[in-house]
Amino acid sequence: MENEADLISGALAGEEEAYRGLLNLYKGRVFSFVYRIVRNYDDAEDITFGTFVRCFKALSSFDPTKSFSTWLFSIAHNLTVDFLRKKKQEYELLDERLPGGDDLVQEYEKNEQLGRIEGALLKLAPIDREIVIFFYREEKSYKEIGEILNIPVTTIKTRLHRARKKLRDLVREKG
Amino acid sequence: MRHKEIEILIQKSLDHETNGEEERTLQLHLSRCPACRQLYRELMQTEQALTGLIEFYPRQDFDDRVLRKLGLARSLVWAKAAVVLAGAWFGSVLFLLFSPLTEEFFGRVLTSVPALARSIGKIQFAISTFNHVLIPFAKNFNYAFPIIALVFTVLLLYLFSKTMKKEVVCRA
Repeated sequence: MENEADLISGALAGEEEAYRGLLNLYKGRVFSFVYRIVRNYDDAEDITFGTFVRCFKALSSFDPTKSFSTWLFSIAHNLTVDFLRKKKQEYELLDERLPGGDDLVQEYEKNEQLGRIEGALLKLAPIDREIVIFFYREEKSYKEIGEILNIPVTTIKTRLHRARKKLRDLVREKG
Repeated sequence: MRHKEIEILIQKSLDHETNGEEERTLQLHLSRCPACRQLYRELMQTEQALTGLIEFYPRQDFDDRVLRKLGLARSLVWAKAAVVLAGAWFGSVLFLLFSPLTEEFFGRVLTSVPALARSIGKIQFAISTFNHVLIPFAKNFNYAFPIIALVFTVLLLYLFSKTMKKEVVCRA
């Protein structure tokens, strides 16, 4: 697998293969993140598409001393929040009226435990879902999550702790 | 130590932020308290499940669309489709020209379905009219061949479109 820094240099030089390399590295991760927040496949694809277009257009302004994934996820986060606000969806609270998400749970038909956690994750507020995904799926530090979400580390910790307990309670209920 | 304080320690432990003494205090309490032990175990299980979340992917043509938006990739879809269509049609005509199967066989196949037979009748009329222009140049040509080749081509194109169909992992 090519080095990320090499791919970024190649992309800056206009090499199509370098762009494809970056897409291969990140499109699944970004799409999975967005999909779990907006809970609609087509919307998630549109947002992910916008994320990469924006990222690649602004690639020349990326600071190579910083983390590329943190920068990319910041863009994805901002576009996701914009989308939720346009749809008048609550970001910091859970809007129980929202449809969608059944397909996410159905994918885990063969693995009940994973299906339960995915279903429980959907019951968190979008901001808590983001924190959980960044912490566990993307293995981001509190500091990095703070940079992406633009909120203090203490708030992230508090929300993560509450989210853990809530997830555990929800999984227990279904179990 | 109170359960509330232990819960804070558990969270801290899950964050990998406990020092040696805090971890010892926690483990000592967990060894004596079933309720806190259960909480700790269930939180650990929740964590494990979260690290096992599967990855979803956008549609197959996602990369091409992004690069096209940036002006980096030419659209090759129609070029590919045209090459396949032309190749399939030409291959079909060649196959029919040199096929060991008789005209009678093809005739029976084509007329086995009444609606198909009617459509073919109409197409035959159109082509036979056109044929009058071709006859001086293609005396051995059978006007049924292009129709049969077209049927094969449509079938092949349908199969081709199936392979080009957006493959989605974990689709909505």
